[in-house]
Amino acid sequence: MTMRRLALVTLSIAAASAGEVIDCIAVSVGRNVITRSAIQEQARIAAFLNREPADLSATNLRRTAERLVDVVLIRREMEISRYAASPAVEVEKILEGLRAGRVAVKPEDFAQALTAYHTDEAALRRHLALQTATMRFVELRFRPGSSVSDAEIDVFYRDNFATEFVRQNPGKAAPNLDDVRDRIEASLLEQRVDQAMEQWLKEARSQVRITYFPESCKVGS
Amino acid sequence: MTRASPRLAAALVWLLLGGAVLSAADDYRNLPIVQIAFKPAEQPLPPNELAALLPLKVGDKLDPEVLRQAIEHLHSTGRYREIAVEAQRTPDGVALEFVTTGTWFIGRISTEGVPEPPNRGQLASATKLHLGEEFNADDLREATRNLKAKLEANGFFEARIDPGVKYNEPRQQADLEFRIDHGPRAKFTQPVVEGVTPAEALRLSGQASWKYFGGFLGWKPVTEGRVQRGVERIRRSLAKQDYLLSRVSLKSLDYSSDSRRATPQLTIDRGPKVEIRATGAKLSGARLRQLVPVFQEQSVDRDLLVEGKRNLQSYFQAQGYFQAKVDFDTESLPNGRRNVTFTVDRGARYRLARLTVNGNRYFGADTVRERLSLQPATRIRYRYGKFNAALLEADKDSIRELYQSNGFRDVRVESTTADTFGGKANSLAVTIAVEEGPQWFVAAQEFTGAALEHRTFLEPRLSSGGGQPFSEANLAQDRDTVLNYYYNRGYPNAKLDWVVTPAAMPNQVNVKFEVTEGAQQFVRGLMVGGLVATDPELVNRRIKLAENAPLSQAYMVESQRRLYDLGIFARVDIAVQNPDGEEASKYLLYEFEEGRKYSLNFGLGAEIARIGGGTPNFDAPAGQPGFSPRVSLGLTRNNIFGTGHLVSAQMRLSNIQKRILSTYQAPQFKGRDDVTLTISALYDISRDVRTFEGRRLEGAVQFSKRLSRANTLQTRFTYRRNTIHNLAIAANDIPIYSQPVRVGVLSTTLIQDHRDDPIDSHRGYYNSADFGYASKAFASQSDYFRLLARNSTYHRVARDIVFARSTTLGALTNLRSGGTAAIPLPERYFSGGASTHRGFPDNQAGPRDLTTGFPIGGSALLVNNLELRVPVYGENLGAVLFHDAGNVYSGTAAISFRIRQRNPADFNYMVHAVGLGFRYKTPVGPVRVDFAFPANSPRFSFERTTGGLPTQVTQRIDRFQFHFSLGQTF
Repeated sequence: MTMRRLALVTLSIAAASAGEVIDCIAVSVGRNVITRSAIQEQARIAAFLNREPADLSATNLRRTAERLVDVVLIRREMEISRYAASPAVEVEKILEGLRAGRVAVKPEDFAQALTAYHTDEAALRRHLALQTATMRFVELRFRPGSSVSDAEIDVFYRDNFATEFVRQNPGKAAPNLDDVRDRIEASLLEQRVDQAMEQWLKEARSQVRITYFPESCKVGS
Repeated sequence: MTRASPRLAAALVWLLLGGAVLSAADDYRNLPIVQIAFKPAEQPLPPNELAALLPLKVGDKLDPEVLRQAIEHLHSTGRYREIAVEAQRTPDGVALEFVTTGTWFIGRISTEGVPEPPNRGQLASATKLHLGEEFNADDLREATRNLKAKLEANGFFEARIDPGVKYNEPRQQADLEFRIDHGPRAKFTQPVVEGVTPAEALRLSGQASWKYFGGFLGWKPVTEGRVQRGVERIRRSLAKQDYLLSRVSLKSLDYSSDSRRATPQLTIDRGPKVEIRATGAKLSGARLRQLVPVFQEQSVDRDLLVEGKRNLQSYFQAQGYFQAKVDFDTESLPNGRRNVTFTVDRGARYRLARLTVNGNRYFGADTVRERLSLQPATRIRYRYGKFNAALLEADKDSIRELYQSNGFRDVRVESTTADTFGGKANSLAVTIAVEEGPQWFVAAQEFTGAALEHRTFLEPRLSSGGGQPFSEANLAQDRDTVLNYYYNRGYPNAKLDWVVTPAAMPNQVNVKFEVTEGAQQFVRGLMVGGLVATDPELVNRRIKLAENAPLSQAYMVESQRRLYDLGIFARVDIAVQNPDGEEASKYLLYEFEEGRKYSLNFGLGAEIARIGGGTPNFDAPAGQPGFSPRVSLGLTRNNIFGTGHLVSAQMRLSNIQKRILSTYQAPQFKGRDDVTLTISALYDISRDVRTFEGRRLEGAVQFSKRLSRANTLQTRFTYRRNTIHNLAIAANDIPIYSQPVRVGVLSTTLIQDHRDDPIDSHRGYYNSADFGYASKAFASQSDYFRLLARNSTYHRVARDIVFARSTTLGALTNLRSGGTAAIPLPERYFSGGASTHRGFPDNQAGPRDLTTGFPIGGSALLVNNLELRVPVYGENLGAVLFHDAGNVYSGTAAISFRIRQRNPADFNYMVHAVGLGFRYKTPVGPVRVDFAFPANSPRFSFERTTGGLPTQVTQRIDRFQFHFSLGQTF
């Protein structure tokens, strides 16, 4: 059989099959699910916001799925602990900013730009709502418990900041600690919050059954 | 062209295998949906539930976001593991097919074939699988590993486990069967101990007690419990040598299949020796261990030492050294030892002479006082009173809580302590001042979110209604009331929020309750498993939840209680299948583990009283102090024929009684919770009445019905044959008494028990009335009517002082000619002893044979007991001042309150005994000893043959009686 004939047979088998899978469960997180279409949508919107071409490769979609698992865990925790949702006005504000060209798209071309990414404003709005809710959760849950002591700032300044500054600016003296103390403190605080968040996510993942369905629901090429 | 390019070929393969990646629902967006189908056609949810769940329907235009929601909704029911949606274009639009794979849920977990330990329950819980929860194939592997570990921990190192799953397709249940070939149980062998010298290792391994009789009978078989206890024993042994920080850990149990021995590999880190002592006050080692937690925690950190310091301080304060100061010092010596010294400065010993509470207007002094632990000194019980700083703070908190829960939100409770009360040194007066502040009320209450029928039921039951005092405690109580109401009606996700806002009037608030009912859940069906010998109908009758009934937590708990009450199940697990799934109706799973078929009990006891040792002594018809050891043995066969009934045989042997009793008992007879049927057969040889040895052969059938929580009605028919042996009286003198007699009695007993604690009552009352009718209609050789009634009441006259009284009245009427004398001896009333009239030895009250002096029982009984129960010392020792009055009389008409005995043949008068008893509280009830002084105890005459000549002798019931027993008198 020639390759062309094989191609024809294959095409006819594909056409004769019962139907095509248009959506499916890609990951289940306890009683919550992440569908293939949700992962693809997330990847497209992330690409839109980052002004990059949509990357629907298996690797990126898998990475996106992992991020969505975290989002689901946070959403579950917010529901259980009854955290207040982000005010709608917050989403609108970000959306306004985006429309006003924050992502280098002219306001009039906004809808067209979204369409180019096979998505729309409703999906973007959903994405932004989740993003702001997640940020709000992180702020409320982890920031109050995170702190940085003066000694830690001193150590960071001595062991990291000053050394790195001198390495990058040969011949220049590093700024005084008092001049950069606030910046170092803010940076270390961010690290603490991130660490607390990572730790929480690790524990949350261990407490819920997370199942991936790579065979029955392929999410990428 | 005969060859296609490789790129085309790859694209085609991709189209077949992975083409879905780019085939999105977007391609079908806005096409009209012409069909929605499911594959397989048989779905776990009924079509109407499916239709209600899906946010899309035929005719809608396909929206990928709505499709995603449809998948989410279906999955949220918990019934689906995988869902894919296939689309097929049609000339009119698009046909959708939901291709689903169901979830499996854990059903019965059976682990048969392993001798205990571990028991089946332990094995089932070792699998870490839970009834009703989702099951995955990976779980089975993990469960098998866990089981294997559990078996090895119990010495079954050669166990082979063959896991199997039986799927119940329609109900999505996976029953897991672990077939276990347990193999031999390993025995211990000499442990290998690291971290200590070989000699010490040998000594410590001996402490583990893993050998029988020090090795004389070899090593014991391995069980998890023995391993843990052995390790703990080694640790305790080290602690006794002051190695308080020692760590003993079991590294492994190494098994040798050749010898079938398991070698415990132990690692011991003795740590430094730590000596803990107290200076400045006398304190026993045991007390120090109890108060300083380093001994229990195996750690000597600062927090524990501080806690020890506080405990010691409280201990001395409780002894009256209210200003005791304790400090500690730690010292590390060069040889590695550590010394911890608690220095106690007890200071002067104080008495809490006065405790005053003032400022309380809303609550009376009694209401406040009964919440206090502080106790002013008393002459005997609390010589120095009960006082220390912690108790004072706890009492202040308790008063605060009392006020706050009644609307006094701003209450302030302060205390002052003066240490020279009444001008006396070391005499404390504590004053607790209450500043009540205003009482807050609920001005208006609003109840929203609940359906009308629920609101109508709940609103009147809320404590935070309009006009009620406002408090957080009331709100919490209301939350419990509301949520329990919903949970018990199938609303497991019900939530209650409340908002409190200030009202227009001062010190008033408005309360708004907001209910989120959530969806009501119903019972889809019942699934019962684990019944081997038990008749399933027996269980089904006791499960109250029917299909389609609301899924009520209360009913589930109630049915579990009913099933446990049958006494035939070791375990009754109830679970909801798919507990987290959001579906309207759920399967309810009942899994049983049947209890053992046979149970054996054995007991030893003794009686010490004026019982005479069981042998009639013709010189002492009034009895003499004696000791009667008692042995009891019982065997019960449970769940006979799978009916929940039981058959038991109980045997009791003592100097004064030999008894064998077999019983057939049907609890919850015919499925009725409140009815018990008992059929019994008894053979009893009793010498507790000193006049004769009575032998009783008896059969009885009894129905017991619980009318309410406090009231019980018993109806029984008894048929017995009484014979008299070893009669201390000349049989010729009492021919009627001494003849064997058959008695058939129909009797009814009504019991009314409103006591707070049946073992040691403080308030309430107890009534019982027993009516018996013996008649020839029941093939009885004796016809009589018998009544025995008792009324007891209990009154708290002060915080710890109880006045208790009891009156017992009995009447026996012969319904045949011959008067009361015709009633055979064993059927007559006998009284006297520890639980009736303490002025008499056991069963020595009432008429006596004039020739021998032995009691012959009577036809009427009246006994009145009065008791004042007072605490004496500390919490456990109490005393009882009592007065018992009454007697057994020759007939009802002969009942008399007369206190003088007219002559030695007159027994129809009232004997009064006053006395003193002591009670010591134990977990099984108070142990008691009573000393009684029957001032007008009866004299009686009898004949004694001296030198071949009969002489008349007069004796008297001793005017000092003592009784030793368990439990209060009444």
